[in-house]
Amino acid sequence: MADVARQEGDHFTLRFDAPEIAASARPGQFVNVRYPGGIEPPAAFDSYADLQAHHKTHPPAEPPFLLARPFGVRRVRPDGSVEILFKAVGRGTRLLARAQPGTKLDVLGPIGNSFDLSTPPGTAILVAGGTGIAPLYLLADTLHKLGSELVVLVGTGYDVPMSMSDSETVVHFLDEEVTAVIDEYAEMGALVRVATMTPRTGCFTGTSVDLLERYLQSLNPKQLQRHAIYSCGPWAMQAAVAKLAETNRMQCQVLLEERMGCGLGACMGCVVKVRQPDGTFRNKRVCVDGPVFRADEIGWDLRE
Amino acid sequence: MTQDALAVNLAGLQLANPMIVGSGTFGFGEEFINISNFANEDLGAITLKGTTLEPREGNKTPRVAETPSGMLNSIGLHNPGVDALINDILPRIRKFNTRLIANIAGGSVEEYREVARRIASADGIDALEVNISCPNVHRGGVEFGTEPAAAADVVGAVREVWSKPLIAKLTPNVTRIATIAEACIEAGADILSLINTLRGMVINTETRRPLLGANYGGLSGPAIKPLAVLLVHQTYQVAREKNVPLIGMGGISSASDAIEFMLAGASAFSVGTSLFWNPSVCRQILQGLRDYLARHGVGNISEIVGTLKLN
Repeated sequence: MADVARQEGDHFTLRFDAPEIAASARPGQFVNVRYPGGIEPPAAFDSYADLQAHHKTHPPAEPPFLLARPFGVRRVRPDGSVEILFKAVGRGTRLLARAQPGTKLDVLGPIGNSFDLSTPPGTAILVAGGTGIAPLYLLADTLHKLGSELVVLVGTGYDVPMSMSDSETVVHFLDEEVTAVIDEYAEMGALVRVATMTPRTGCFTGTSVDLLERYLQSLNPKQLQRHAIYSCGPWAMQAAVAKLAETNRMQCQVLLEERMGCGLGACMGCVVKVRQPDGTFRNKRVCVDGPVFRADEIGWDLRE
Repeated sequence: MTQDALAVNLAGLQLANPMIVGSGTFGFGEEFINISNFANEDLGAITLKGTTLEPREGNKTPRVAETPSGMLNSIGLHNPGVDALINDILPRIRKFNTRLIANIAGGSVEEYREVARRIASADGIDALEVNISCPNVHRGGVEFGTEPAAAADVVGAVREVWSKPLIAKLTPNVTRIATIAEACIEAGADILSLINTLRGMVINTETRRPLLGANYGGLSGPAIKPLAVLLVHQTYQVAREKNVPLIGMGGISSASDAIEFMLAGASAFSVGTSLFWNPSVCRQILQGLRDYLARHGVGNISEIVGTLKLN
């Protein structure tokens, strides 16, 4: 069973029933989703105009795709459903965006390691770039329950894929007009701020890394010590986050993404350079050795 | 119907059924253990990831791209090396209730021989597949598989140190595959497996760059199946005279696909890319094979090998 809801821009949330995954998914883990749908049955039309009219409500079918697509688990519900959030950018995600209630999906998961939450920090800073925000909800929820305070810094192009409100409070590290918050995080009591590349009312103009930098600059060394960073987003953004964490000597975990073949560790398609105990860097699989790594063990400059 | 209906014998390599998993699509046999609807015991054999003398880090990413009804990959023989296979991995996977086929690659005839020699000295590998057809490495691999003399050199060198069943894996990227097949048989191959991937390329039109980090890759999946069936059919014409069985592969994703390969002359078949999008495929194929035998009144699946009737 699938339930798709369009968010701002080309963002979609997709919810499906998968009780076993809902019961066992940990923050940072992902699911492999495949839309096995076939080609629409042929229809006859009296005129080209009729065909065009038909296509307005029934876009031309695209061939089904073969490989499952990996998506971080955004949230799980007690009713056994699992939610993911994605941006329709290619053929696979466009097809998934078209799933209807009742559409059967092939879903495999939960896959991968998860964020190490063995020592929850006093304050957890969650930094997201674009749809990198998706898997951080489950993390925020878990950290919140573990007693950590939350700071959530989100950067996007212009469209923010989650419902926003205008907060009354002014935060100390930003100008007073930067007041927009994402509701679901604000409800947890998190300090939330949003950066957009294209200026938008209530949002900081810039990147999530700019937001993070401003926030860290506002802290004294003692305050810094009780913070840890959790990040998800594009490679260049996460490399910059890792750099800030290193400069400020902070714990930082990153959730990486890479093009995957199998998502099961078998094909060796999705590798990233990871520092070994002897100091050398070796290719590790994002799908099963990750997708969460310590920021200081990734060879950020070694990606060719 | 008994288990024996699916049992096959490939040049002395006894398999519970003709379904094998292809090298590079199944890691070293441990990755699918926890997948529901899948069991290693369902497989006639597991072909392990291509292994070289030294560990290899493989090619740069992206390494995979989806293509129409297929997939392009350029992993580049990323593997931990033969010593890690023997010392670390083999002790764990030896216990699987199936056959293990090691797949070896090298940059020189001597390297192939040395990898084979080390595997021969260990216990637990039932057959060796010589990869003379990897399209994704600069030296070795496919270079050995496109020249009959070079293919014979590699197979002959491995034959000297390996006494159990020896498989030569053929590339489709040649003008006449039967010529290479004959050279490998002459040099001592007991079994031929085909096809490896077809060379291919995907271009990102916005950046005007190849999508894969290594520019070119090997094409697999349903897209290549008709070509693979034809090449098995052609190779069977020369292999049958020498009593050399074939392992057919290329885009198999159903029992009917597998049966096509067997009718064309394959004594066994490998499943590969389809495992990535449907881990239940092996179980579905096994059931489909049993149904087919019952429907056609066939006692053992080997009886259908090469029974294609041309129009």
